This record gives sequence, structure tokens and C-alpha cells, in this order.
Amino acid sequence: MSGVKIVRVPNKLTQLVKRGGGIAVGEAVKRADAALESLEDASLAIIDEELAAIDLLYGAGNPDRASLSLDQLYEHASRIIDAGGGLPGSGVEEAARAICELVARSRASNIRDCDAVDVHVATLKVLRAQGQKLSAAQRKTVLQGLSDVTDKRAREA
Amino acid sequence: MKRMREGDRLNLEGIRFLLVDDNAHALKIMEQVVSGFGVRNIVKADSAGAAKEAINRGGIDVVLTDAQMPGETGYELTEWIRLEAPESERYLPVVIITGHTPESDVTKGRDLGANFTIAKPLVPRVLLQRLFWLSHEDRQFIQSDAYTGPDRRFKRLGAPYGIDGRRSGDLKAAVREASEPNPDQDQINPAMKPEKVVL
Repeated sequence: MSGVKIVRVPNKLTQLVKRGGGIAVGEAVKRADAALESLEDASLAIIDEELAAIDLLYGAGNPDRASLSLDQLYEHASRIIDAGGGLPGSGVEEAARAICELVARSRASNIRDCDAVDVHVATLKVLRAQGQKLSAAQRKTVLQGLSDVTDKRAREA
Repeated sequence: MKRMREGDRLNLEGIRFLLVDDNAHALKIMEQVVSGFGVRNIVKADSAGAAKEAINRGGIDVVLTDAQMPGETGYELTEWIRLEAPESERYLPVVIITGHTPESDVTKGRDLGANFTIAKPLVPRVLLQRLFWLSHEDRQFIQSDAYTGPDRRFKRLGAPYGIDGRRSGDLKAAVREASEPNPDQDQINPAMKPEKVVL
């Protein structure tokens, strides 16, 4: 292909949406939220399964944990994010995302830090158990702590 | 972009959604959310390969795909749609949904031709807002050696100074006479100089 071709594409979605009828935005969001609530128990079960798997592999009980690749930690944390909505307002998903960020930065710097992993996993467990009871400010402080740990490790790398 | 209001109405009933995620629970979440929006026509795929087959069959109107999947990722699927899918399907709206979202991934999705990238967990209001934008979007498609996808220039800031814009929506760069005198340097300095703040 040479040069740039600019194509004006008829927006099929616009045409379909404009046909009238349908539901109001507020109602659509309410129905979707209600539909998601029906999955909360399943989401919670997945979060607990993934947490148990993380503990088994990367917890203090595994003497080989220091030599394990962090790839599985990333995958388990990703599945906790995927399970989303199991514990609304607990901060669990944000902590799982912080784990993914820690692993991504560890891969980039090629430095493995068991203490940082421990802090993240412990925080994840605390938020699973108590996150919904914390105030928004307390959760923010806890999550900021994870971010600070990751930033500090990155600066030291 | 047009702001979505509570009373705005959307009729998604006749729109066929292709939902792609290797994680069965995440796929179920997507399905529940779009069903709540009134969507009745849903095709599910647990891999990029299965998604391609669905797209090749035709009739898909919107693609929602997970970013990280084993084998081919959502990014690769997006690239395939823009470059290799049947001609009629290359302009499909694609929304990438990702769990861990470093900024580089958002840029990657955009540069491979995705319309939007949104973060998991899937929040119904956020997804509906993106669908609302998609349905009001009049972005052109760009096809070139370096990029194929929707025009990445969201902000229409107008043509550079001294150049007449070519778009009908380009802002006019005409500048009127100043209505107030220019501030003198003593007024400018305090506004520009960083100062230590005592808390």
C-alpha cells in the first residue's frame, strides 16, 4: 500500500441504534448491575480459589518460592481481576492489579523481590477479609502503600 | 465526545455482539452486562481463533475482546480484523478489555486499530458509555502502511497557525485585537515562578 487512504465508513451501529425504542441509559445500567449481582457468589469463589493458589505457590510455606517464576502470580492475579465484582468496594481488584504491575516491573528490571511479593499478597488477603469494612480513605492508604513499594523497588533497580 | 445522559435511549436489541475471552467466568460477566443493556444477539468465542471464524461468517456488529489470551491475544485479533478480515468486516468497532493496563498497552491497542480500551473489572456504566460513543462516532478510517484503523486524532484542535484547515469542523484561527493590555513582567513572574509551599 502506498500513501494514506481515508475512508468514510457509514457507522452501522449508529443506524441500528437510531431505530428508536430501546431502553433509557439509567435503566440499562440498573439492569446490567442487577445481572452482575447474580454472579457475585461465583466471583467470590474464584477470588478465594486464586488466593489459595497464590498462597500455595508464593506463600512462606513453600520453601521453593524464591526460585519460582512470577508468571503464575501474574496469571492468578489477572484471574482475580477477571472475577471482578465479587467483593465490590473491597479494593481486592486494585490490589490484584498492583500485583500485576509489580510482576510486570520485575520482568522489566529482571529483579525479583520476595519481600515486595509478600507485602502485596498479604495486603490482598487483608482486603479480601476486611476490605469492605474499611473506609474509602483507609483503602486508598493501603493501596497507595503497594504503589509506593513498587515505585521504591523500581527506583532501586 | 457526546455526553451520555440518564434519559438517553439506546436500542441495542438488533445489534450482534461478539464477546471474546478465554476465561469462562469473564465471558459470562460480559454476557450478563450486555444482556442487561438489552442485547439479544450474542456470539461468544473463547479464543481469537474462534472469534475469527465468527467474523468470517459475517453479521457481527461490535467486538468486545479480552486483551490477554493464551495463543493469540486480543491485540492480535484486532490487528487481524483491520488488516486481514474480509473487507466488509475490517471496520468493525473493536473494544479491548484488559485486566492489567499499563499505558503502553492502551497505546498498543490504539495503534493496532482498536476503538477503545477499557479496564476490568467490567463496569456496566463505563462499557455503555463507550458503546454510546461508538454509536455517535463519525471518525474516519485511515488505511496506510503504518496504521489501519479509526482516525486516532480525537482532539480537533484545528489546523496549525497560518494554515487553513481542510475539515469542515476545523476551528478558525482568526485572532481578534487584544481587549486588555498585555500584563507586564512583574505580573507574569509570580505566575510562572515555582515557590515552596509550607503545609
